[in-house]
Amino acid sequence: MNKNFRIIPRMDIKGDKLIKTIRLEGVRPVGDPKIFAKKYYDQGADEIFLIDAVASLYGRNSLFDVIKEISQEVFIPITLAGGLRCLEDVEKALNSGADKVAINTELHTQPNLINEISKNFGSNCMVLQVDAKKIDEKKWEPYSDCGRERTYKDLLEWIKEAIDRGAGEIFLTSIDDEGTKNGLDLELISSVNEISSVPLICSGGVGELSNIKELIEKIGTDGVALSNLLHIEKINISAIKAFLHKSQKKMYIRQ
Amino acid sequence: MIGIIDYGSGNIFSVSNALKKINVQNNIIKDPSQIKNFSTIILPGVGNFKSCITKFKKKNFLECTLSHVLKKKKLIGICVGMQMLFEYSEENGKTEGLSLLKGKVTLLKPNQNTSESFLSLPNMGWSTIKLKKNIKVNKFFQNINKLDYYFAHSYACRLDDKSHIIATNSYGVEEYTSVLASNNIFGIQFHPEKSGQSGLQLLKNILSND
Repeated sequence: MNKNFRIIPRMDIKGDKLIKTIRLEGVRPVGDPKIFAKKYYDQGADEIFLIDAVASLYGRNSLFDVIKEISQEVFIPITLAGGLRCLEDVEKALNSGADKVAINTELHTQPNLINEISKNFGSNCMVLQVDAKKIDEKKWEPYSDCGRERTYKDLLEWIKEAIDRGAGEIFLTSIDDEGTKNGLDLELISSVNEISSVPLICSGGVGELSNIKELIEKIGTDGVALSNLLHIEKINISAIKAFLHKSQKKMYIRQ
Repeated sequence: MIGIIDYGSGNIFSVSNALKKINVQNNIIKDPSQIKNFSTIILPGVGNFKSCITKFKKKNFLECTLSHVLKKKKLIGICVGMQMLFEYSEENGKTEGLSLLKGKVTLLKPNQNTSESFLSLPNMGWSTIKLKKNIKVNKFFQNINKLDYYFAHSYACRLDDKSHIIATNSYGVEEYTSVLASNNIFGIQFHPEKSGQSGLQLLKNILSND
């Protein structure tokens, strides 16, 4: 059987509102995250990725209550990201209904947290969130704090280290393309895919359905995270899946 | 009444939410002595085998769970909870399980002897399971149209007694057991509580067959 490809709504949350960001900075409120999550579940989403867009900046966790409510009506995996700093935060996230946590910022000062989460809760639930910025030809740097702070690390070296430490999945966003609708950065995705032994989900820049088809045909990651296409363009996930089912045979799309 | 064992590992609230959705009354069991009050218990499990089994034993759930099964009452293991039912797992060195079923738990090897594209571990994502042909299968999978379920694991159960296999799944060159039933013991490798309508209906079918 062919490898499975997941369609994942990416939902950036600020307070109790779903927002849409541009290059991880500009903000536009979209609506109630609970209603959107339920809608995407009904449309056939394979998973939901929730990011507390302000948590790592202001040092608070506000998404636990939102996820608690969502998980009573949405029966697909939910990943929680944004502002998680320690094992207790992870436990709280899992106890609130999250199945996985995605972490970026904290890992740059405390990389051992990857080992600890993977040891205590399993590598399945430790997702490495990477916000990548291009710095040279075929060279990228991971950024922390929602794409605001430099880490001065080499992207591929950082990802290799994180996988060695026990990260079970990579959630990769291209900062340069996020919210631009210019299409995915296939060069970046392909470079990461080549060195990754764990599932890779990518996001940032999908403007039309053919971008996803191209991703599958040229690279074939484990999935794509979508925000603009869903929140703003209001394209139905079942329509996206029907299109991918018809237009490519390389990967399996759950209908 | 259904009880969900809370030994400090596993997405107990997801399981509880799923049962609520299908109108199945359930309680979370924090104290092992409560197990006797339940007709069916669910053993969830997320993470690595060793850490799960250690916490499970440390919280004194072992004896009460074994005596529950001896009384022919129903036990359902989900994901690592299913793996814990076996004699041992090879994850993080050989670790003993509950030995309720004969067999072991070993690493998936999806890429062995194949020229297919590289398959990653953990095996995460949706997969269509294959049903065996027997009478129990019909009961469990009635009213389910799509056999797509969500998996998140790197290890799988290898049963000595193949007649307990209800469904299998393939990942690369691997074919392994995804659902098993042995008298009052049930095991599900994927996450029915996270597999949309197909998962909710499966839980409903298994729990309503009392």
